[in-house]
Amino acid sequence: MSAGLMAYVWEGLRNTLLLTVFGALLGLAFAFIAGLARTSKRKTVRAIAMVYTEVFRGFPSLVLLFALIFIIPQFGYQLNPLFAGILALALNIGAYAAEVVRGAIRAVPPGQIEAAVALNFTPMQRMRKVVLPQAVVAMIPPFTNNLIELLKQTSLVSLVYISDLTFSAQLIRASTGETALVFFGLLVGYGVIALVFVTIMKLLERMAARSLGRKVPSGLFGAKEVAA
Amino acid sequence: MEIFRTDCAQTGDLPRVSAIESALRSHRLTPMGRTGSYEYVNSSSLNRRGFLRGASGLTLGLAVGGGALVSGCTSISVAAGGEGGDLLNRLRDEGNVRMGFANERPFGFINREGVLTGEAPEVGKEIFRRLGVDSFEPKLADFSSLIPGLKAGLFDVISAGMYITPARCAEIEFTNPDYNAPAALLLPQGNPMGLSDLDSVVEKRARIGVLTGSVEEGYARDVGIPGGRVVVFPDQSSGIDGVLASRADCLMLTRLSLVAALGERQGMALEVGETFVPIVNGQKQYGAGGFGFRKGETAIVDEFNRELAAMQRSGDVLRLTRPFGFSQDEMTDLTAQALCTGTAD
Repeated sequence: MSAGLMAYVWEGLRNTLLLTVFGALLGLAFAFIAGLARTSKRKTVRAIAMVYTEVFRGFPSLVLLFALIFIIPQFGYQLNPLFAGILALALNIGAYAAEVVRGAIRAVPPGQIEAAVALNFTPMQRMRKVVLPQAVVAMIPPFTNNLIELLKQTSLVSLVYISDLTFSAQLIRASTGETALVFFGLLVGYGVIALVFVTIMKLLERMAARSLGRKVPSGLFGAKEVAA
Repeated sequence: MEIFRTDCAQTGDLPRVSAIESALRSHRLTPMGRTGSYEYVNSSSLNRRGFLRGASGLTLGLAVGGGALVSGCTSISVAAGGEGGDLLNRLRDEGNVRMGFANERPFGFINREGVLTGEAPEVGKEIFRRLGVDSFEPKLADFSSLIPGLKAGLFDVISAGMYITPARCAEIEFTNPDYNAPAALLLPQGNPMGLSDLDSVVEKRARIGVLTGSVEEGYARDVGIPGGRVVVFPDQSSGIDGVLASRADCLMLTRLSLVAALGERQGMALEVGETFVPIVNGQKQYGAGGFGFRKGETAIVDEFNRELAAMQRSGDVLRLTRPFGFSQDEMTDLTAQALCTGTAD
């Protein structure tokens, strides 16, 4: 393949990684805000978080992308397309991950919270020092799922003409006519990127578990799960 | 942040993140933090508060960085500023123009070297060079998304050889056309029905093949060919196959497209008829294409037209477009104004 076409591949790869990483970080912020808000004592806070979660979980990312890129400019304001892509993906994946956050917080044994109350922790300290450290460990495996889902969702931005990996591949396909080769390469490419992200998340999971004094077996395949 | 390709000040997001982290770190010195009563096994240097602190620092840092982005660096300007717009000045400052195209040969496409080329990009690049912009960034879009994409600011100019029609003129500004592609009929070899133009198709009660959604489809209906004799094909190659298989007596497209398509399929029992300009309701229907800019950007359109006229006079347009199958037949001196108001003849 010519150097000119390779330049499109690198640009596409860069944009796909940017969309995934920034989408994940922004989505993580949304997830924690909404997930924690859903455990709030105040009904209005819970309601707002619930509306966010349900709206953006039910809203196709593609429609959101079209809205951000093609509808907002009609009001005379245009988001940078790449940022619009990140925002749309983050809103969507954040809504999914918010449920992960909520679920993990609910899963912390009540005895832990009772102990914290007995030790005269304020609600804030309870959350920061007792609940979250345990909940975060439980969040990481489902977050890994969300991250891989996000990585694959980034290919949607090619439909609004942001030059991600899929978009570059389509361009190369159109100029060389190598349909089979291009799509096979794309398949392998996404697979490899996903593997890299999975590995990073595995390391994070191990770090988080170790901080609780638990051990996660090393190696790609791990070992037989034993009850902690 | 350079990655968002905006001209906002790079007000160090990283120092801000580390400021948050150090704030979090100092927070550790609260009495409760020092007790360490929850660090039950802890052989490694990593403790759970450290892990959480890192995670929350990152998230907070992102929220701050994201806030900075939202506040100034994430938008791009789509409004035409001032009288006649300031697009040309902006492009000169950036030294770069983003050209929208639809990957259609021979009008605008990416070649095997990965370079944007074709009739419109080659003429457009030369004109932009003369206007002082030397770098070109190809921006691919579907043909039907070129106008929405231009309006949404995904690119600065449509350079796809887009036909200038009154409906499109209502949406965007057009430069004068740099080519006019007269229509022709693709016919079985020997032209058994003696077809020459749209009128002859009506007279001889022939079945005309057109591509779906094309201007020719509209012309065929407007000159009164009944629906049963208008054969709609999804794309060029099935149209050619349709004529070969006698599903239609002819296929109407521009001479350019027909010659290009036949070039790829040598040795078929087909021929391309004489060129003609279709006449619908007494009006000549030109297939004249130009470059599109956002509404209100008239200053750059005027400059563009001036350079285009000079290139047309010197024969540079023909020289640049000949490699793509254009000939003297396709050169034109029509104006965008005449085409937009439907007064061209």
